Amino acid sequence: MKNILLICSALLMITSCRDKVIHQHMANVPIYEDYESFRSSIAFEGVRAIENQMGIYSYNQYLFVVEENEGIHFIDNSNPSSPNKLGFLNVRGCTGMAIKNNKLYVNNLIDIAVIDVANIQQPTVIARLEDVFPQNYPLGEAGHYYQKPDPEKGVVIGWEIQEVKEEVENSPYYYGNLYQMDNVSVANESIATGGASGSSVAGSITKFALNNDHLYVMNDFNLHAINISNPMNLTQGEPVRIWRTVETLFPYDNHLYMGTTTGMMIYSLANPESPEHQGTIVHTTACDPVVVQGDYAYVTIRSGTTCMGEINQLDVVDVSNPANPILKSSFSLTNPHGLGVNGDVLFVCDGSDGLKVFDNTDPLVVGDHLTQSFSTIQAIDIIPLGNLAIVLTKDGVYQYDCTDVQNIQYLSQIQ
Amino acid sequence: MQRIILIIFLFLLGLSAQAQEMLTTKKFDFVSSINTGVNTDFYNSNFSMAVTNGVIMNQRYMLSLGLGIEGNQTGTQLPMFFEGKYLFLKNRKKTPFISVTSGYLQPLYRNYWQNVQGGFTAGAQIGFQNFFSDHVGISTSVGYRYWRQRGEQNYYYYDIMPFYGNGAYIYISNRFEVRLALLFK
Repeated sequence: MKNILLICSALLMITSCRDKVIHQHMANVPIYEDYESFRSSIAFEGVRAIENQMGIYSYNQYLFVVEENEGIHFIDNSNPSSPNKLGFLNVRGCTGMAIKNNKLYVNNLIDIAVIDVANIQQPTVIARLEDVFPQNYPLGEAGHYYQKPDPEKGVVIGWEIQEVKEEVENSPYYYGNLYQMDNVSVANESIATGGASGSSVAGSITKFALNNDHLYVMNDFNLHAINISNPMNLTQGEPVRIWRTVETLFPYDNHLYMGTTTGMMIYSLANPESPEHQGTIVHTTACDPVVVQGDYAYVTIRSGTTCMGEINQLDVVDVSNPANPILKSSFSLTNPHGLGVNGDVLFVCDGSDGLKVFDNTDPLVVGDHLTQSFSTIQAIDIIPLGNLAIVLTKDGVYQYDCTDVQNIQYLSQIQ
Repeated sequence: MQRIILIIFLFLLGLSAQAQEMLTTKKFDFVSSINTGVNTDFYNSNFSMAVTNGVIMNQRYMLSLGLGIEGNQTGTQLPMFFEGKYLFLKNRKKTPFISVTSGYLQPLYRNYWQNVQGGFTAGAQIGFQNFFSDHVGISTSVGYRYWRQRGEQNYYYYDIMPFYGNGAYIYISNRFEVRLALLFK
Protein backbone atom coordinates (compact mmCIF):
# COMPACT_ATOMS: atom_id res chain seq x y z
CA MET A 1 0.00 0.00 0.00
CA LYS A 2 2.82 2.35 0.91
CA ASN A 3 4.55 1.60 -2.38
CA ILE A 4 1.40 2.39 -4.32
CA LEU A 5 1.01 5.69 -2.48
CA LEU A 6 4.64 6.49 -3.18
CA ILE A 7 4.27 5.74 -6.89
CA CYS A 8 1.08 7.80 -7.10
CA SER A 9 2.74 10.72 -5.35
CA ALA A 10 5.71 10.53 -7.70
CA LEU A 11 3.42 10.44 -10.75
CA LEU A 12 1.43 13.38 -9.42
CA MET A 13 4.59 15.35 -8.90
CA ILE A 14 5.91 14.57 -12.37
CA THR A 15 2.67 15.47 -14.11
CA SER A 16 1.98 18.61 -12.09
CA CYS A 17 5.51 19.97 -12.35
CA ARG A 18 5.35 21.71 -15.67
CA ASP A 19 6.34 25.09 -17.08
CA LYS A 20 3.57 26.91 -18.85
CA VAL A 21 2.82 30.27 -20.44
CA ILE A 22 -0.54 31.99 -20.14
CA HIS A 23 -1.47 34.64 -22.70
CA GLN A 24 -3.67 37.23 -21.01
CA HIS A 25 -5.29 39.82 -23.23
CA MET A 26 -8.51 41.35 -24.53
CA ALA A 27 -10.03 39.46 -27.43
CA ASN A 28 -13.17 38.90 -29.43
CA VAL A 29 -14.78 36.03 -27.55
CA PRO A 30 -17.45 34.01 -29.35
CA ILE A 31 -21.11 34.32 -28.42
CA TYR A 32 -22.70 30.97 -29.13
CA GLU A 33 -26.18 29.87 -29.93
CA ASP A 34 -27.14 26.24 -29.91
CA TYR A 35 -27.68 24.72 -33.34
CA GLU A 36 -31.38 24.07 -32.88
CA SER A 37 -32.19 27.65 -31.88
CA PHE A 38 -29.97 29.02 -34.60
CA ARG A 39 -31.64 26.93 -37.27
CA SER A 40 -35.09 28.03 -36.22
CA SER A 41 -34.26 31.73 -35.96
CA ILE A 42 -35.20 32.89 -39.47
CA ALA A 43 -38.33 35.01 -39.15
CA PHE A 44 -40.32 37.45 -41.27
CA GLU A 45 -40.79 40.74 -39.45
CA GLY A 46 -42.19 44.18 -40.08
CA VAL A 47 -40.56 46.74 -42.34
CA ARG A 48 -37.47 48.58 -41.17
CA ALA A 49 -35.12 51.17 -42.56
CA ILE A 50 -32.32 50.21 -44.93
CA GLU A 51 -29.14 50.96 -43.02
CA ASN A 52 -26.27 48.73 -44.01
CA GLN A 53 -27.13 47.56 -47.48
CA MET A 54 -24.74 45.34 -49.36
CA GLY A 55 -26.66 43.85 -52.24
CA ILE A 56 -29.77 44.24 -54.31
CA TYR A 57 -31.73 41.63 -56.20
CA SER A 58 -34.74 41.60 -58.44
CA TYR A 59 -37.16 38.73 -58.92
CA ASN A 60 -40.38 39.14 -60.85
CA GLN A 61 -42.02 42.32 -59.52
CA TYR A 62 -40.06 42.26 -56.25
CA LEU A 63 -36.85 43.79 -55.05
CA PHE A 64 -34.72 42.37 -52.26
CA VAL A 65 -32.12 44.40 -50.41
CA VAL A 66 -29.66 42.55 -48.23
CA GLU A 67 -28.87 44.13 -44.88
CA GLU A 68 -25.37 42.95 -44.04
CA ASN A 69 -25.38 40.06 -41.57
CA GLU A 70 -28.97 40.76 -40.57
CA GLY A 71 -31.42 39.82 -43.28
CA ILE A 72 -33.33 40.84 -46.37
CA HIS A 73 -35.78 43.67 -47.06
CA PHE A 74 -38.70 42.51 -49.22
CA ILE A 75 -40.05 45.24 -51.51
CA ASP A 76 -42.98 45.15 -53.89
CA ASN A 77 -41.73 46.93 -57.02
CA SER A 78 -44.81 46.43 -59.17
CA ASN A 79 -44.82 50.18 -59.62
CA PRO A 80 -41.19 51.34 -59.76
CA SER A 81 -42.34 54.91 -59.24
CA SER A 82 -43.80 53.93 -55.91
CA PRO A 83 -42.20 50.79 -54.46
CA ASN A 84 -43.75 49.37 -51.31
CA LYS A 85 -41.82 47.66 -48.52
CA LEU A 86 -43.39 44.38 -47.46
CA GLY A 87 -41.26 43.28 -44.54
CA PHE A 88 -37.88 42.15 -43.36
CA LEU A 89 -36.65 38.57 -43.32
CA ASN A 90 -34.35 38.18 -40.36
CA VAL A 91 -31.50 35.92 -41.41
CA ARG A 92 -28.49 35.88 -39.12
CA GLY A 93 -25.20 36.23 -40.99
CA CYS A 94 -26.92 36.86 -44.28
CA THR A 95 -24.78 38.54 -46.91
CA GLY A 96 -26.64 37.70 -50.07
CA MET A 97 -29.24 35.62 -51.78
CA ALA A 98 -30.51 34.14 -54.99
CA ILE A 99 -33.95 33.02 -56.10
CA LYS A 100 -34.94 30.36 -58.54
CA ASN A 101 -38.45 29.05 -59.08
CA ASN A 102 -39.80 30.75 -55.96
CA LYS A 103 -37.10 29.24 -53.78
CA LEU A 104 -34.85 31.77 -52.10
CA TYR A 105 -31.33 30.57 -51.27
CA VAL A 106 -29.57 32.54 -48.60
CA ASN A 107 -26.43 32.07 -46.57
CA ASN A 108 -27.29 31.78 -42.90
CA LEU A 109 -23.78 31.94 -41.40
CA ILE A 110 -22.69 28.33 -41.66
CA ASP A 111 -25.65 27.02 -43.67
CA ILE A 112 -27.45 27.64 -46.92
CA ALA A 113 -31.15 28.01 -46.12
CA VAL A 114 -33.89 27.39 -48.67
CA ILE A 115 -36.95 29.59 -48.24
CA ASP A 116 -40.18 29.22 -50.14
CA VAL A 117 -41.31 32.69 -51.31
CA ALA A 118 -44.28 31.60 -53.41
CA ASN A 119 -46.34 33.53 -50.90
CA ILE A 120 -44.18 36.61 -50.58
CA GLN A 121 -46.00 37.71 -47.45
CA GLN A 122 -45.22 34.46 -45.70
CA PRO A 123 -41.74 33.17 -46.54
CA THR A 124 -41.12 29.74 -45.04
CA VAL A 125 -37.88 27.87 -44.47
CA ILE A 126 -38.27 24.51 -46.20
CA ALA A 127 -34.75 23.05 -46.20
CA ARG A 128 -31.12 23.62 -45.33
CA LEU A 129 -27.73 22.53 -46.45
CA GLU A 130 -25.95 22.44 -43.15
CA ASP A 131 -22.33 23.27 -42.33
CA VAL A 132 -21.44 24.41 -45.84
CA PHE A 133 -19.24 27.14 -44.36
CA PRO A 134 -18.30 25.84 -40.94
CA GLN A 135 -15.84 28.68 -40.39
CA ASN A 136 -18.06 31.59 -41.35
CA TYR A 137 -18.24 33.97 -38.46
CA PRO A 138 -19.69 37.46 -38.06
CA LEU A 139 -17.22 40.30 -37.74
CA GLY A 140 -16.00 41.26 -34.30
CA GLU A 141 -14.45 44.44 -33.02
CA ALA A 142 -11.43 45.60 -34.98
CA GLY A 143 -8.08 45.73 -33.23
CA HIS A 144 -8.52 42.54 -31.26
CA TYR A 145 -7.73 38.95 -31.94
CA TYR A 146 -10.40 36.33 -32.18
CA GLN A 147 -10.60 33.51 -29.73
CA LYS A 148 -10.79 30.26 -31.61
CA PRO A 149 -14.42 29.10 -31.61
CA ASP A 150 -15.42 25.68 -30.37
CA PRO A 151 -18.01 24.16 -32.74
CA GLU A 152 -19.16 21.86 -29.95
CA LYS A 153 -20.61 24.86 -28.15
CA GLY A 154 -22.83 25.93 -31.03
CA VAL A 155 -22.88 28.52 -33.78
CA VAL A 156 -20.93 31.74 -33.35
CA ILE A 157 -23.53 34.47 -33.74
CA GLY A 158 -21.40 37.34 -32.48
CA TRP A 159 -18.41 38.39 -30.45
CA GLU A 160 -17.86 40.28 -27.24
CA ILE A 161 -14.66 41.83 -26.02
CA GLN A 162 -13.41 40.06 -22.91
CA GLU A 163 -10.17 39.43 -21.15
CA VAL A 164 -9.05 35.92 -21.92
CA LYS A 165 -6.34 33.76 -20.46
CA GLU A 166 -5.17 30.76 -22.36
CA GLU A 167 -2.18 28.54 -22.30
CA VAL A 168 0.16 28.95 -25.22
CA GLU A 169 3.41 27.39 -26.24
CA ASN A 170 6.56 28.75 -24.72
CA SER A 171 8.68 30.24 -27.44
CA PRO A 172 10.35 33.61 -27.53
CA TYR A 173 8.98 34.02 -31.04
CA TYR A 174 5.48 32.90 -30.28
CA TYR A 175 2.89 35.50 -31.24
CA GLY A 176 -0.46 34.18 -30.26
CA ASN A 177 -2.78 31.25 -30.47
CA LEU A 178 -5.65 33.26 -31.79
CA TYR A 179 -7.11 34.04 -35.13
CA GLN A 180 -6.10 37.22 -36.79
CA MET A 181 -8.57 38.62 -39.25
CA ASP A 182 -6.87 36.93 -42.16
CA ASN A 183 -7.67 33.58 -40.63
CA VAL A 184 -11.32 34.24 -40.04
CA SER A 185 -13.54 33.46 -42.95
CA VAL A 186 -16.10 36.18 -42.86
CA ALA A 187 -18.86 36.06 -45.41
CA ASN A 188 -19.14 39.72 -46.18
CA GLU A 189 -19.84 39.93 -49.85
CA SER A 190 -23.14 39.96 -51.58
CA ILE A 191 -24.70 37.10 -53.44
CA ALA A 192 -25.99 37.50 -56.92
CA THR A 193 -27.02 35.65 -59.99
CA GLY A 194 -26.60 36.23 -63.65
CA GLY A 195 -30.31 36.27 -64.24
CA ALA A 196 -30.97 32.89 -65.74
CA SER A 197 -34.55 32.01 -66.65
CA GLY A 198 -36.86 31.93 -63.63
CA SER A 199 -34.10 33.32 -61.46
CA SER A 200 -33.39 36.49 -59.61
CA VAL A 201 -31.11 39.13 -61.07
CA ALA A 202 -28.44 40.89 -59.11
CA GLY A 203 -25.63 43.31 -59.41
CA SER A 204 -22.00 42.73 -60.20
CA ILE A 205 -20.52 42.70 -56.70
CA THR A 206 -21.23 39.12 -55.79
CA LYS A 207 -19.68 36.04 -54.35
CA PHE A 208 -22.49 33.72 -55.36
CA ALA A 209 -23.66 32.87 -58.83
CA LEU A 210 -26.55 30.81 -60.15
CA ASN A 211 -26.11 28.77 -63.31
CA ASN A 212 -28.76 26.25 -64.35
CA ASP A 213 -29.15 23.81 -61.47
CA HIS A 214 -26.11 24.93 -59.55
CA LEU A 215 -25.47 27.69 -57.09
CA TYR A 216 -21.81 28.68 -56.93
CA VAL A 217 -20.55 30.16 -53.72
CA MET A 218 -17.12 31.65 -53.25
CA ASN A 219 -16.10 31.42 -49.63
CA ASP A 220 -12.58 32.18 -48.49
CA PHE A 221 -10.47 30.38 -51.12
CA ASN A 222 -13.04 27.69 -51.89
CA LEU A 223 -15.58 27.67 -54.68
CA HIS A 224 -18.60 25.61 -53.61
CA ALA A 225 -20.83 24.11 -56.28
CA ILE A 226 -24.23 23.39 -54.75
CA ASN A 227 -26.74 21.34 -56.68
CA ILE A 228 -30.18 22.95 -56.28
CA SER A 229 -32.11 20.74 -58.71
CA ASN A 230 -34.01 19.43 -55.71
CA PRO A 231 -34.44 22.37 -53.32
CA MET A 232 -35.53 20.01 -50.57
CA ASN A 233 -32.29 18.13 -50.78
CA LEU A 234 -29.33 20.33 -51.68
CA THR A 235 -26.03 18.59 -52.30
CA GLN A 236 -22.53 19.75 -52.92
CA GLY A 237 -19.34 18.17 -54.17
CA GLU A 238 -15.81 18.83 -53.11
CA PRO A 239 -15.08 22.59 -53.12
CA VAL A 240 -12.63 23.81 -55.76
CA ARG A 241 -9.61 25.61 -54.36
CA ILE A 242 -8.99 28.99 -56.03
CA TRP A 243 -5.52 30.36 -55.46
CA ARG A 244 -6.50 34.01 -55.66
CA THR A 245 -8.61 36.31 -53.54
CA VAL A 246 -11.92 36.16 -55.36
CA GLU A 247 -14.28 39.09 -54.76
CA THR A 248 -17.02 38.66 -57.33
CA LEU A 249 -18.57 35.95 -59.47
CA PHE A 250 -20.51 36.45 -62.69
CA PRO A 251 -21.96 33.51 -64.61
CA TYR A 252 -22.26 33.90 -68.36
CA ASP A 253 -22.60 31.45 -71.22
CA ASN A 254 -21.76 28.44 -69.08
CA HIS A 255 -18.65 30.11 -67.74
CA LEU A 256 -17.91 31.68 -64.41
CA TYR A 257 -16.09 35.02 -64.47
CA MET A 258 -14.26 35.81 -61.26
CA GLY A 259 -13.10 39.23 -60.24
CA THR A 260 -10.06 38.74 -58.05
CA THR A 261 -7.76 41.24 -56.38
CA THR A 262 -5.08 40.48 -58.92
CA GLY A 263 -6.98 39.85 -62.13
CA MET A 264 -9.96 38.27 -63.81
CA MET A 265 -10.28 34.51 -64.02
CA ILE A 266 -12.57 32.43 -66.20
CA TYR A 267 -13.77 28.97 -65.21
CA SER A 268 -15.69 26.60 -67.42
CA LEU A 269 -18.95 25.18 -66.03
CA ALA A 270 -19.08 22.35 -68.57
CA ASN A 271 -18.76 20.06 -65.59
CA PRO A 272 -21.03 21.92 -63.18
CA GLU A 273 -19.90 19.99 -60.14
CA SER A 274 -16.27 20.79 -60.73
CA PRO A 275 -15.53 24.07 -62.54
CA GLU A 276 -12.27 24.10 -64.48
CA HIS A 277 -9.92 27.00 -65.00
CA GLN A 278 -9.91 28.38 -68.54
CA GLY A 279 -8.03 31.64 -68.57
CA THR A 280 -6.76 34.56 -66.53
CA ILE A 281 -5.93 38.16 -67.18
CA VAL A 282 -3.75 39.80 -64.56
CA HIS A 283 -3.77 43.34 -63.23
CA THR A 284 -2.27 45.11 -60.24
CA THR A 285 -3.81 44.57 -56.83
CA ALA A 286 -7.25 46.18 -56.66
CA CYS A 287 -10.96 45.41 -56.38
CA ASP A 288 -12.60 44.49 -59.65
CA PRO A 289 -16.20 43.46 -60.30
CA VAL A 290 -16.82 42.04 -63.74
CA VAL A 291 -19.83 41.71 -66.05
CA VAL A 292 -19.96 40.08 -69.47
CA GLN A 293 -21.94 40.62 -72.62
CA GLY A 294 -21.21 38.98 -75.94
CA ASP A 295 -17.48 38.70 -76.54
CA TYR A 296 -16.51 41.32 -73.99
CA ALA A 297 -16.02 41.42 -70.28
CA TYR A 298 -16.18 44.79 -68.55
CA VAL A 299 -14.00 45.04 -65.49
CA THR A 300 -13.77 47.98 -63.12
CA ILE A 301 -10.56 48.22 -61.11
CA ARG A 302 -10.73 50.22 -57.92
CA SER A 303 -8.16 51.32 -55.38
CA GLY A 304 -8.57 52.41 -51.78
CA THR A 305 -9.32 50.90 -48.35
CA THR A 306 -8.86 47.16 -48.44
CA CYS A 307 -8.55 47.16 -52.20
CA MET A 308 -5.08 48.77 -52.16
CA GLY A 309 -3.63 49.62 -55.55
CA GLU A 310 -3.47 53.00 -57.19
CA ILE A 311 -5.55 52.62 -60.29
CA ASN A 312 -9.19 53.37 -60.96
CA GLN A 313 -10.26 52.33 -64.39
CA LEU A 314 -12.59 50.41 -66.64
CA ASP A 315 -11.06 47.59 -68.65
CA VAL A 316 -12.68 46.01 -71.68
CA VAL A 317 -11.49 42.46 -72.22
CA ASP A 318 -12.04 40.28 -75.25
CA VAL A 319 -13.29 36.94 -73.91
CA SER A 320 -14.32 35.40 -77.22
CA ASN A 321 -11.75 32.75 -76.39
CA PRO A 322 -12.16 32.18 -72.63
CA ALA A 323 -8.85 30.37 -72.53
CA ASN A 324 -7.09 33.48 -73.73
CA PRO A 325 -8.70 36.72 -72.51
CA ILE A 326 -7.13 39.80 -74.10
CA LEU A 327 -7.23 43.32 -72.69
CA LYS A 328 -8.54 45.55 -75.47
CA SER A 329 -8.92 48.97 -73.89
CA SER A 330 -8.80 50.83 -70.59
CA PHE A 331 -10.48 54.05 -69.45
CA SER A 332 -9.71 56.13 -66.43
CA LEU A 333 -12.43 56.54 -63.78
CA THR A 334 -12.70 58.07 -60.29
CA ASN A 335 -13.46 55.16 -57.95
CA PRO A 336 -15.51 52.56 -59.81
CA HIS A 337 -17.53 49.98 -57.92
CA GLY A 338 -20.23 47.84 -59.48
CA LEU A 339 -21.30 47.98 -63.08
CA GLY A 340 -23.96 46.63 -65.39
CA VAL A 341 -24.36 46.25 -69.11
CA ASN A 342 -27.60 46.15 -71.04
CA GLY A 343 -27.26 46.10 -74.81
CA ASP A 344 -25.78 49.36 -75.98
CA VAL A 345 -25.69 50.90 -72.52
CA LEU A 346 -23.02 50.43 -69.89
CA PHE A 347 -23.65 51.67 -66.36
CA VAL A 348 -20.76 52.24 -63.99
CA CYS A 349 -21.13 53.10 -60.31
CA ASP A 350 -18.20 55.48 -59.95
CA GLY A 351 -18.14 56.08 -56.21
CA SER A 352 -18.51 59.72 -55.25
CA ASP A 353 -18.90 60.62 -58.92
CA GLY A 354 -22.20 58.80 -58.86
CA LEU A 355 -23.72 56.74 -61.64
CA LYS A 356 -22.21 57.10 -65.12
CA VAL A 357 -23.94 55.95 -68.27
CA PHE A 358 -21.88 55.12 -71.35
CA ASP A 359 -22.80 54.40 -74.94
CA ASN A 360 -21.71 50.82 -75.51
CA THR A 361 -22.34 50.69 -79.25
CA ASP A 362 -18.64 50.02 -79.72
CA PRO A 363 -17.31 48.31 -76.56
CA LEU A 364 -13.71 49.10 -77.45
CA VAL A 365 -14.30 52.84 -77.02
CA VAL A 366 -17.12 52.68 -74.48
CA GLY A 367 -15.24 54.72 -71.89
CA ASP A 368 -14.96 57.66 -74.26
CA HIS A 369 -18.68 57.95 -74.73
CA LEU A 370 -20.19 59.16 -71.47
CA THR A 371 -23.80 60.04 -72.20
CA GLN A 372 -25.12 60.91 -68.77
CA SER A 373 -24.07 60.97 -65.13
CA PHE A 374 -25.88 61.24 -61.82
CA SER A 375 -23.37 62.73 -59.44
CA THR A 376 -25.75 63.40 -56.56
CA ILE A 377 -25.82 59.74 -55.55
CA GLN A 378 -22.97 57.60 -54.28
CA ALA A 379 -23.58 54.51 -56.33
CA ILE A 380 -22.34 51.10 -55.22
CA ASP A 381 -23.92 48.62 -57.62
CA ILE A 382 -26.56 48.43 -60.31
CA ILE A 383 -29.05 46.09 -61.92
CA PRO A 384 -29.96 47.16 -65.46
CA LEU A 385 -33.32 45.46 -65.95
CA GLY A 386 -35.16 46.15 -69.17
CA ASN A 387 -36.00 49.84 -69.14
CA LEU A 388 -35.21 50.13 -65.48
CA ALA A 389 -31.92 50.91 -63.73
CA ILE A 390 -31.97 49.83 -60.09
CA VAL A 391 -29.06 51.45 -58.30
CA LEU A 392 -27.79 50.53 -54.86
CA THR A 393 -26.35 53.61 -53.18
CA LYS A 394 -25.15 54.72 -49.78
CA ASP A 395 -28.62 56.20 -49.26
CA GLY A 396 -30.69 53.20 -50.21
CA VAL A 397 -31.97 52.24 -53.61
CA TYR A 398 -32.66 54.60 -56.50
CA GLN A 399 -34.59 53.67 -59.60
CA TYR A 400 -34.39 55.28 -63.00
CA ASP A 401 -36.45 54.95 -66.15
CA CYS A 402 -34.10 54.17 -69.05
CA THR A 403 -36.71 54.01 -71.81
CA ASP A 404 -34.84 56.87 -73.46
CA VAL A 405 -31.18 56.23 -72.66
CA GLN A 406 -30.33 59.76 -73.73
CA ASN A 407 -32.69 61.10 -71.14
CA ILE A 408 -32.79 58.78 -68.14
CA GLN A 409 -35.41 59.83 -65.63
CA TYR A 410 -35.41 59.45 -61.84
CA LEU A 411 -38.32 57.33 -60.60
CA SER A 412 -38.01 56.64 -56.89
CA GLN A 413 -35.87 56.15 -53.85
CA ILE A 414 -36.21 53.39 -51.24
CA GLN A 415 -34.71 54.00 -47.80
CA MET B 1 34.90 11.70 -8.67
CA GLN B 2 32.68 9.12 -6.99
CA ARG B 3 35.55 8.15 -4.69
CA ILE B 4 36.09 11.76 -3.67
CA ILE B 5 32.42 12.13 -2.85
CA LEU B 6 32.49 8.90 -0.86
CA ILE B 7 35.54 10.04 1.12
CA ILE B 8 33.94 13.40 1.88
CA PHE B 9 30.75 11.67 2.92
CA LEU B 10 32.58 9.29 5.25
CA PHE B 11 34.61 12.19 6.62
CA LEU B 12 31.49 14.16 7.40
CA LEU B 13 29.85 11.09 8.88
CA GLY B 14 32.84 10.59 11.13
CA LEU B 15 32.73 14.17 12.27
CA SER B 16 29.07 13.88 13.05
CA ALA B 17 29.64 10.82 15.12
CA GLN B 18 32.07 12.74 17.34
CA ALA B 19 29.99 15.86 17.69
CA GLN B 20 27.71 16.75 20.55
CA GLU B 21 24.00 16.12 20.04
CA MET B 22 22.67 19.55 21.05
CA LEU B 23 22.25 22.04 18.24
CA THR B 24 22.64 25.14 20.34
CA THR B 25 22.49 26.25 23.91
CA LYS B 26 21.13 29.71 23.05
CA LYS B 27 17.55 30.77 22.62
CA PHE B 28 18.52 32.72 19.50
CA ASP B 29 21.43 31.71 17.37
CA PHE B 30 22.61 32.88 13.98
CA VAL B 31 22.87 30.54 11.05
CA SER B 32 23.99 30.91 7.46
CA SER B 33 23.85 28.56 4.52
CA ILE B 34 25.10 28.17 0.99
CA ASN B 35 22.63 26.27 -1.16
CA THR B 36 23.05 24.68 -4.53
CA GLY B 37 20.42 22.78 -6.35
CA VAL B 38 18.66 21.70 -9.47
CA ASN B 39 15.09 22.43 -10.45
CA THR B 40 13.29 20.56 -13.20
CA ASP B 41 9.90 20.03 -14.81
CA PHE B 42 11.31 16.80 -16.25
CA TYR B 43 11.66 18.49 -19.66
CA ASN B 44 13.86 21.43 -18.75
CA SER B 45 16.28 21.73 -15.85
CA ASN B 46 18.24 24.62 -14.34
CA PHE B 47 20.79 25.06 -11.60
CA SER B 48 20.24 27.29 -8.63
CA MET B 49 22.40 28.77 -5.91
CA ALA B 50 21.56 30.90 -2.89
CA VAL B 51 23.03 32.33 0.28
CA THR B 52 20.85 32.72 3.34
CA ASN B 53 21.37 34.35 6.70
CA GLY B 54 19.02 33.95 9.59
CA VAL B 55 18.34 32.93 13.13
CA ILE B 56 17.38 29.80 14.98
CA MET B 57 14.67 30.54 17.49
CA ASN B 58 13.73 28.35 20.41
CA GLN B 59 16.11 25.71 19.03
CA ARG B 60 13.44 24.66 16.56
CA TYR B 61 12.47 27.47 14.20
CA MET B 62 14.74 29.02 11.63
CA LEU B 63 13.95 32.24 9.81
CA SER B 64 16.33 33.38 7.09
CA LEU B 65 16.69 36.00 4.40
CA GLY B 66 18.16 34.77 1.15
CA LEU B 67 19.63 36.00 -2.10
CA GLY B 68 20.40 33.75 -5.01
CA ILE B 69 20.87 33.18 -8.67
CA GLU B 70 18.95 30.57 -10.59
CA GLY B 71 17.49 29.64 -13.92
CA ASN B 72 13.93 29.05 -14.95
CA GLN B 73 11.96 29.00 -18.19
CA THR B 74 12.45 32.71 -18.89
CA GLY B 75 16.18 32.88 -18.18
CA THR B 76 18.47 33.71 -15.30
CA GLN B 77 16.83 35.15 -12.20
CA LEU B 78 17.88 36.84 -9.01
CA PRO B 79 15.57 35.61 -6.24
CA MET B 80 15.29 37.50 -2.95
CA PHE B 81 13.33 35.51 -0.44
CA PHE B 82 12.44 34.65 3.12
CA GLU B 83 12.81 31.09 4.29
CA GLY B 84 11.09 29.59 7.29
CA LYS B 85 12.24 26.23 8.54
CA TYR B 86 10.74 23.92 11.12
CA LEU B 87 12.98 21.34 12.75
CA PHE B 88 11.15 18.20 13.68
CA LEU B 89 13.59 17.33 16.46
CA LYS B 90 14.11 20.25 18.81
CA ASN B 91 17.68 21.26 19.40
CA ARG B 92 19.17 18.25 17.69
CA LYS B 93 22.05 18.34 15.31
CA LYS B 94 20.52 15.66 13.19
CA THR B 95 16.95 16.36 12.37
CA PRO B 96 14.50 16.21 9.53
CA PHE B 97 12.86 19.50 8.63
CA ILE B 98 10.37 21.21 6.42
CA SER B 99 10.87 24.66 5.01
CA VAL B 100 8.90 27.18 3.00
CA THR B 101 10.27 30.03 0.90
CA SER B 102 8.59 33.03 -0.60
CA GLY B 103 9.96 36.08 -2.30
CA TYR B 104 10.53 38.31 -5.28
CA LEU B 105 12.23 37.36 -8.47
CA GLN B 106 14.20 39.82 -10.55
CA PRO B 107 15.36 38.84 -14.05
CA LEU B 108 19.06 39.34 -14.54
CA TYR B 109 18.70 39.43 -18.31
CA ARG B 110 15.66 40.41 -20.34
CA ASN B 111 15.09 38.84 -23.71
CA TYR B 112 13.74 41.58 -25.99
CA TRP B 113 11.10 39.29 -27.45
CA GLN B 114 9.74 38.25 -24.06
CA ASN B 115 10.52 41.37 -22.01
CA VAL B 116 9.88 39.51 -18.78
CA GLN B 117 9.33 41.53 -15.62
CA GLY B 118 10.01 40.64 -12.00
CA GLY B 119 7.67 38.22 -10.31
CA PHE B 120 6.83 35.99 -7.41
CA THR B 121 8.47 32.82 -6.26
CA ALA B 122 7.61 30.32 -3.56
CA GLY B 123 8.51 26.81 -2.59
CA ALA B 124 8.35 24.09 -0.01
CA GLN B 125 11.02 21.56 0.90
CA ILE B 126 11.36 18.53 3.08
CA GLY B 127 14.80 17.32 4.05
CA PHE B 128 17.36 16.34 6.61
CA GLN B 129 20.07 18.45 8.20
CA ASN B 130 23.11 17.28 10.03
CA PHE B 131 25.47 19.56 12.01
CA PHE B 132 28.50 17.36 12.19
CA SER B 133 30.33 19.90 14.30
CA ASP B 134 29.30 22.79 16.49
CA HIS B 135 29.56 25.19 13.59
CA VAL B 136 29.27 23.31 10.30
CA GLY B 137 26.64 21.08 8.88
CA ILE B 138 24.99 19.93 5.70
CA SER B 139 21.44 19.51 4.62
CA THR B 140 19.71 17.84 1.74
CA SER B 141 16.15 18.41 0.74
CA VAL B 142 13.63 17.88 -2.03
CA GLY B 143 10.53 19.87 -2.82
CA TYR B 144 8.48 22.03 -5.06
CA ARG B 145 9.20 25.45 -6.58
CA TYR B 146 6.86 27.92 -8.15
CA TRP B 147 7.63 31.02 -10.20
CA ARG B 148 5.24 33.50 -11.71
CA GLN B 149 6.44 36.30 -13.96
CA ARG B 150 4.76 38.64 -16.36
CA GLY B 151 6.07 39.65 -19.75
CA GLU B 152 4.96 41.76 -22.66
CA GLN B 153 5.99 39.76 -25.63
CA ASN B 154 7.33 41.64 -28.60
CA TYR B 155 7.14 40.41 -32.13
CA TYR B 156 7.86 42.19 -35.34
CA TYR B 157 4.23 41.71 -36.30
CA TYR B 158 3.25 44.09 -33.49
CA ASP B 159 5.74 46.65 -34.67
CA ILE B 160 4.13 46.84 -38.08
CA MET B 161 0.56 46.38 -36.82
CA PRO B 162 0.55 48.08 -33.44
CA PHE B 163 -3.23 48.40 -33.42
CA TYR B 164 -3.51 44.77 -32.42
CA GLY B 165 -3.33 44.73 -28.63
CA ASN B 166 -1.01 41.96 -27.63
CA GLY B 167 -1.79 41.85 -23.92
CA ALA B 168 0.57 40.15 -21.51
CA TYR B 169 2.16 36.76 -21.10
CA ILE B 170 2.33 35.11 -17.71
CA TYR B 171 5.14 32.63 -17.30
CA ILE B 172 4.45 30.03 -14.66
CA SER B 173 6.96 27.43 -13.63
CA ASN B 174 6.06 24.49 -11.44
CA ARG B 175 9.18 22.49 -10.80
CA PHE B 176 10.62 19.73 -8.70
CA GLU B 177 13.71 20.88 -6.82
CA VAL B 178 16.65 19.12 -5.13
CA ARG B 179 18.93 21.10 -2.84
CA LEU B 180 22.20 20.55 -1.08
CA ALA B 181 23.34 23.09 1.51
CA LEU B 182 26.34 23.83 3.64
CA LEU B 183 25.27 25.23 7.03
CA PHE B 184 27.28 27.50 9.28
CA LYS B 185 26.42 28.48 12.81
